[in-house]
Amino acid sequence: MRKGVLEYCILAILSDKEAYPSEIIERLKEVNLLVVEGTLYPLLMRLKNEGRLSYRFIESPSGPPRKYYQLTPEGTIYFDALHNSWGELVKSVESITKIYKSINQ
Amino acid sequence: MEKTTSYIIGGSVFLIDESAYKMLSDYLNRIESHIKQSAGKDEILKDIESRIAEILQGKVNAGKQTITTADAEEVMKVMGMPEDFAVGESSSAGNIPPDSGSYLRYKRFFRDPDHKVIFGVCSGISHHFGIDPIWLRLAFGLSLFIGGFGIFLYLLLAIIIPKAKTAADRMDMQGEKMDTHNMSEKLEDEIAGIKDKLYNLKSDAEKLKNKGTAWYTDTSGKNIFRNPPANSANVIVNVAKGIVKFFAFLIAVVMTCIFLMLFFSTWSGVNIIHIHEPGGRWLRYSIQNIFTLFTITGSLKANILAGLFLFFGVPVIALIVHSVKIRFFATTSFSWFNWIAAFVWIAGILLLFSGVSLLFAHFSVSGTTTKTLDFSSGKRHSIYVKVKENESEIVLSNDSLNLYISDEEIISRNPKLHIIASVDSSYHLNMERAGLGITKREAETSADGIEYQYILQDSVLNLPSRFYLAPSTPWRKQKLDVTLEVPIKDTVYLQPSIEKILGLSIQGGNYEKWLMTKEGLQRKQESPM
Repeated sequence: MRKGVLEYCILAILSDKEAYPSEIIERLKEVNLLVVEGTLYPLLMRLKNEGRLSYRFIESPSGPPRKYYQLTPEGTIYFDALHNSWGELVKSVESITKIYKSINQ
Repeated sequence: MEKTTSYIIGGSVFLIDESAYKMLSDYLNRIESHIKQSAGKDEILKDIESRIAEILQGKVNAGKQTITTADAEEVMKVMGMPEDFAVGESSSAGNIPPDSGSYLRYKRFFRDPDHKVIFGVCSGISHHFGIDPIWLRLAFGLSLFIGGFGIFLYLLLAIIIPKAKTAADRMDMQGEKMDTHNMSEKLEDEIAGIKDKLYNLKSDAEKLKNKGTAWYTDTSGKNIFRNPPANSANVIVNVAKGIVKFFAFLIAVVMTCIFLMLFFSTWSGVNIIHIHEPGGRWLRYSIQNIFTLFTITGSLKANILAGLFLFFGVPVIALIVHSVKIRFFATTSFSWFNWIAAFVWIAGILLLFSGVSLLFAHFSVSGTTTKTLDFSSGKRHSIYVKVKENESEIVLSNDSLNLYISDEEIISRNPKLHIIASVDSSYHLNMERAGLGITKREAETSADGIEYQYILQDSVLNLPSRFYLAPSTPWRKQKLDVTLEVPIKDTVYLQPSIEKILGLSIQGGNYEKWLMTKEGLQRKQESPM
């Protein structure tokens, strides 16, 4: 489940503006989602191969050129779908746990 | 003091301790083996190396001269453990034991039963060496032409190389490291396989229920024929199928060759038909030449040519189209193409058939014409019979057809000579010409096309050893019978070279003396001149 959620979060970050992998990791760390490069790179590659992300190279002052990833139109559609699914999931989970939380109070 | 070396990664160069170097290169190797199944793994590796370079560059910029093991460890902490690098895997929460660092560097040699055509030898070899099995199968198939040792080699390999039976075997065959990750993938495949087997078991049970009938209706309402039983039979069937496939392949190759030969020969006039001449020379004729030679022209020729092309060409083209289809358009249905191809092929056969039968019709009816020359020998009462040898070399002869074809593409043949007693006191030279045709008229015309230039001078009869066909006379198996009627009691001098057309053996050097008697030609007892 964590993998699917991760995908959703990454797309959310990129829906705002383009970013490179280290940046994405930083943003996720800021909200306590700890992810390492090893998990991120293959995921980004897969999304790119599925046509949901694209990237371009931008020169960096501190090393080799960086890959800046961005959403493609198809990625945007996919992100919207994920957004809806997430919303419905949250609603269902909350309504069930509300019932049982009140019973166990 | 540890040795330092230079490390090139992600396009940058760093000074690094040797132990740190070993750590980082091991790390990268392990990552590589973990993301082996990912698409674009090379690009991922590049990205990872760039990121590592970036981190190291940061340290250099902060004043570090040489990369140490501490730096390497930090890199690994930031980037993550290699186990986490596989796509679709959950993050490392310690539930997966760390990579021991050893991985299967070599592949075990197995036959692959999942990708076999006959016994999986070629698939197995392809796994082990990385060659596409198609080339290996082609090589084995072609080796059939070079002495056929390929079959024995193949069977030997099939017996020696074990079949990959278990999931562990299959993974060893492909060189995958066996641990929990891969195991789960393989297990899923195994489970799917077991499910299939269960389904088969169910349908087998149904078949047992309906034992005794040749076919039965199963649960879905389909009529099914019984399966063949035992396993040994299946092995034989497999081998038989393999052999049939081999031969089908062979026939296809042979047909392609013939087709190509036909194609190039007809259009380019290249001489492809080689006939060996008794004298030791090789003759070359092209398809066009052969047609002209036997005067097969016009629509008849077109029919036969078209028939030949379609008969050999359609299977070849169909083969090519199907190969392309399998490679590129696997799912489209090509049945309309098959119908059209079959139709055209049959049309080709019919064309060929009709052309050939028409051709043979031209040789069905026979007709003859006769010419006679009467003369007398005067007082000498003798005749010398010479045979005029041809100046132009014999270039082709076929004993059964008794046909000569010279360089100028003229057909000639030996006449048959008979020497019998004349009913009166004069000599008669009868020339009976025979020919074949589709009608009697045509047969007689073809007979008339025979040209025989004999010369009679004083009492010397000079007979050519061959008759020719007049130009534009088609070859219709023409024959010439020459009968020389000699008055009784006259002497006949025969030259040895006459043997060829006379059918009697002549001795001596120059002329042998013979006598015409009531009973026919007899050898005179005197010694030859």
